[in-house]
Amino acid sequence: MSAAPGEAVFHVERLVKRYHEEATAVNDVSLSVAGGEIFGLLGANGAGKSTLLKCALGLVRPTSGRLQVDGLDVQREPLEARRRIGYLPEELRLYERLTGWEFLELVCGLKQVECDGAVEEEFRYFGLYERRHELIGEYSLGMRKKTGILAALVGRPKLLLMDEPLNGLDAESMRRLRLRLEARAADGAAVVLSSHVMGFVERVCGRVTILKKGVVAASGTPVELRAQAGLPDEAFDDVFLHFAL
Amino acid sequence: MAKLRIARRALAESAFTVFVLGPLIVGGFWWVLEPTLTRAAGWTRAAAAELSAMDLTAVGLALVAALLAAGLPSALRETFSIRTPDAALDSLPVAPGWRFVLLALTQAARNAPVFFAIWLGFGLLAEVSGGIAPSPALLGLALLETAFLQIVGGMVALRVGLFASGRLLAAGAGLLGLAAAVRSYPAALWASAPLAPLATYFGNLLGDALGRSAGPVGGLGGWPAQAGTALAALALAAALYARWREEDRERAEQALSQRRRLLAGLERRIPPRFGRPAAALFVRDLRLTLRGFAPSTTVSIALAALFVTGGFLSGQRLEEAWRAPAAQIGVSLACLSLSALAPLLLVRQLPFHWLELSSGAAPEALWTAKNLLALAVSAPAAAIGLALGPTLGLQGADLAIFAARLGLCWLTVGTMIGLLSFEIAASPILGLLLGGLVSMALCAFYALPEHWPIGVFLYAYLMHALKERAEQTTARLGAQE
Repeated sequence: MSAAPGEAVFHVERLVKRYHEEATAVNDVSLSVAGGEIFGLLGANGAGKSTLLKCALGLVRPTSGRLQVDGLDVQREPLEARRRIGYLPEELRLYERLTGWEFLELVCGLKQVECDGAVEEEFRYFGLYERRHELIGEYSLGMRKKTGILAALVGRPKLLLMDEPLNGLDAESMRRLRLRLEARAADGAAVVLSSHVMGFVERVCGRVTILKKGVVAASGTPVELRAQAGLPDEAFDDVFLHFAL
Repeated sequence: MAKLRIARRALAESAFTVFVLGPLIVGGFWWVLEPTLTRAAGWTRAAAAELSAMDLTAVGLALVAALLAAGLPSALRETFSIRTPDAALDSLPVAPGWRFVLLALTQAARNAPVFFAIWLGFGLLAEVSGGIAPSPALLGLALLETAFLQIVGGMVALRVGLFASGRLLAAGAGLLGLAAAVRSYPAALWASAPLAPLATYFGNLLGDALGRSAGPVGGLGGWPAQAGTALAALALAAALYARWREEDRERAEQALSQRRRLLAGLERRIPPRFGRPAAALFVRDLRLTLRGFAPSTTVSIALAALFVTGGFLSGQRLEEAWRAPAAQIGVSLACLSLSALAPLLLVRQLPFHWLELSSGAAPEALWTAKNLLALAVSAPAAAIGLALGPTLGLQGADLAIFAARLGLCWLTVGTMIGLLSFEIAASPILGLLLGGLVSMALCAFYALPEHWPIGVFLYAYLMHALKERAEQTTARLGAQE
């Protein structure tokens, strides 16, 4: 059963992840992201963002709660759910002895989509086309990040989970990423973005949830959060810090 | 100190396997196989009696060439700190002298497991043949000498442009040709002057282990020649290391980099019944293997070459009834050495598994890919074994039966190691010991003249049981607690 248009593509209900008695990474978090929406998931280091995203992929088993991707229960149908997700991990490990193109060929093979002109176009769009046949080991940090972003975009997934996609990107690449995410959202995909670049988050995300020590500290549109914090004219970093610390 | 700490931790993690389980398993198999090995000692001694000093030196030279070739890329990477943790030292005020000491020790440590295997192998050979086991002290000296020669070799090869496409292969083939020539023309040994003492030493080692003294070759092979070569290589390596410039590093990076497309289009040629994700993973694994992502690639290839050569050379000197089995065992060991690349690659891949797991690839794709890899990388050993079949005097039906047995050995070893890759990767030493010994026992069974056709049924049963096991192991990878 897939989510109908406009319905939640990513749905989290009362999620709890406890590693042991004293360490609760995520505590009773609920959120919902609809198709066409770009959603900001913010929090200080260790607030539980990455754990939540890994739970969404079924890479970490929740202690309790429910997660759905495109109407599929992540725990009951993990493989089907994962096939609908494009994921960019925070700690991006890429094979240094594959070329950028070979890595994308691998991703296309795993997702069972054609590695054709559309992938070539993405390489061009992110400025990697000329160096696609070089080993990833010879890429700069930004180029590696762009390769990871390309991998997440392959197959036009229903849900994009982007954990720190801006690390290492220059201003032009950030602009291109913003445009690409907006285009994917316009096509009906749900985008969950976790980042510490608050200016980008404020500009791109329609709604934002801020986690603090595993619980939801604040939730709403950037404008609503500004109002809640009583900081209408400050930088969005200050609004974030107001809730996150 | 940091490197020592890393090594100490790695050893502590696998201490139980290395010091308790491993010796127990090897000891157990030794106890079971001892009567057979004692019987085999008779024909080993008979075969050894026919070997001349130069035959042994030729084998020694081939071994040195393999050791040198296997260590060249890693020596180059370590020398110029290319994609190694030591690259961080470039930004710290560490004196070049200390860096060189670190380099020499690291390279020696890299070779240590191979030399341990040589010590163990020659020791076992000495046990069954009534020969003399190698002295650990002299072997330690040879270990240092090899490490220094690898560093010098890497830097000289870089300066003379030996890493350009094809030239390294040509140089390797030249060395092997030289090894063959040494048997008939002893003077040819001097053409490999810096390697001659080490080659003679290994030749003597083999002669001693076989219970037959090879005798000195031009005063080489003893410890003074070893120590002299080691010191000369050390001085040359230190001098070259002190003089390298930034452009040398760039050249080294270029030599180690492979920009050309590799195996393009292979994925489409893999039968669809394996599934597209498995095909994609297999092609990735093959690319990573050919590019030496796991450091064991060159060692595995060198060992496989030695096993095939050893199997066929000893086969040619045995009675007719023993020729095919000896060659078959050599090829099986070569298949084992090559298929071990699948789990050893996987050990290196584990930190990168997020992609397979997050893409929704089915567990079946993961183990199928590793099975295909183990079979693909070990296939050349079986093919070369088959091509060399006529050199044993096999023709017609005998050759066909030999081919069938080789095929069965290749399938058994490749399938067992491939399908158990995920289990072996969790504890590589123990896993390879167990998987290797069981598959070797099956291949020894296939060598029995009347009973080998039963192997077809054994293989079918094995495939079925191992597939189920592989499915369960890979299914557990998906979700962590």
